[in-house]
Amino acid sequence: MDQIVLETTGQLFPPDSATNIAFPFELSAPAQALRIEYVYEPKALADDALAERLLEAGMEHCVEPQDRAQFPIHSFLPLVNLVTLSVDAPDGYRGCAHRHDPVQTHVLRAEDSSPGFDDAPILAGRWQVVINVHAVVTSPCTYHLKVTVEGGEAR
Amino acid sequence: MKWHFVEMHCHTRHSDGSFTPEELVQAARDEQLDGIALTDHNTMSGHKGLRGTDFPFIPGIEWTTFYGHMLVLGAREYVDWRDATPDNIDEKMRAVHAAGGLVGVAHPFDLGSPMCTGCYWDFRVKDWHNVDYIEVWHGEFPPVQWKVRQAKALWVRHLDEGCRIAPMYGRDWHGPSLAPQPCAATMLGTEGAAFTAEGGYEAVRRGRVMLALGPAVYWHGEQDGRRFEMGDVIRPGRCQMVVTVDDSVRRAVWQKFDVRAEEAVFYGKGGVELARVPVGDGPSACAMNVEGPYVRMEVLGSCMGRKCAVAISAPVYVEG
Repeated sequence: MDQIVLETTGQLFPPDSATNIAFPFELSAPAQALRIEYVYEPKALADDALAERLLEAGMEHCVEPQDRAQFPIHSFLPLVNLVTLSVDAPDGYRGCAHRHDPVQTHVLRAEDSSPGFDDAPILAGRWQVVINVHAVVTSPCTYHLKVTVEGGEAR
Repeated sequence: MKWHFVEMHCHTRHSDGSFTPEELVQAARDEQLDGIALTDHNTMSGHKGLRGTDFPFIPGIEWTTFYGHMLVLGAREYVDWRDATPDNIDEKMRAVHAAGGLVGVAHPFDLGSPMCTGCYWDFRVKDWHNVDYIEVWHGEFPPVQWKVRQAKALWVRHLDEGCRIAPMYGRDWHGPSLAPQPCAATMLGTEGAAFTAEGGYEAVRRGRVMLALGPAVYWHGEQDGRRFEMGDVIRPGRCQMVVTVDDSVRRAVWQKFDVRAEEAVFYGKGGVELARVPVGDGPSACAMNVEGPYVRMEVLGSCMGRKCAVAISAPVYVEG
């Protein structure tokens, strides 16, 4: 039987960039699979004037003045949020889905896990899903995270 | 010494690449490469897919942090990338070494946030002896990119300080290229005839590394009757250098970009030019006096009609 073990929603703002947010949960028994459904929105910043100001500041930080002409600011529009998701099992790191899609579903199990995650048993114990807030450029960026234990307990 | 042609920075669908592990292997074979390093962003789950092929690969991961991208090769255990901060990166590098891994600085001068989050190196490394290699060349047509000047300057500055850091080429391969550009290969020198993960790891660790845009470039030297290779340590004073360019190797891959090797230039500390010798058919030899802490070599030439470096060597280190 499927059981939701974590469901949460929240808002992120630009100052949350470069932080990790951990969502721990306990599995009382081993299971067949763990399904993680994860969504954040919006993906892109609609305010191009703000985006251009942020891009100008970024360019100033990392590109020397004589090189900037080869990187027209508008070529980087729209500016986007990047919030990835990583997972820790009771026995250690299980992987990460480092990709740009803001709508993601991952299944972790002993065999044939979703890309980015190791194939390993779904152990009883303390797990955590960690949201890796690489960059938030919109105010806010709303996420929704749901973790379901699939296929009942594998005792 | 046997030299192998390797792509040291690759991604698959296990992070944001479009290749499956199997497609990456096929692409590498099509480019006549002998091996790859798989360095997916923040995951090692793609290694399993590569183990299902018989293509040699160095297992790795690209720490895709908020303050820079750091390549980790051959670690026996996972070291967490998520708590890396600008001021604890030396500790994190030491933890990677303790786990048996090698540390590489990826594309230090790439565009960073918000263009590409974390792509620019903002880590404040206190001790550059903790760094095993720097991606001096990165991406497509690497020797003419804007970021080469700074990446090379970063590398040379720390060589001048006495650090032993290999140069690296990372194509940062994410998928098939629609409009192919010239790409280099990293040549790794091993004792064994066949390329293996262990041999490749050891070549990086020992600094037996040559970056080649087109023809294969080999460099060795002799001092007091003893042969030395890149990564070796020699005494200050007189030595003989031999550079050989072989344009028969992987020719089908680079010939369409018209890569030409013209002369080898040797540099010491502070960018001092030690010698310059034309390269062409057969070995080119020259003698020079070297002093600490190193001597390194570049082959200058052209690609698609543009003058550029076509090879960059790892240093030979000089005592004193």
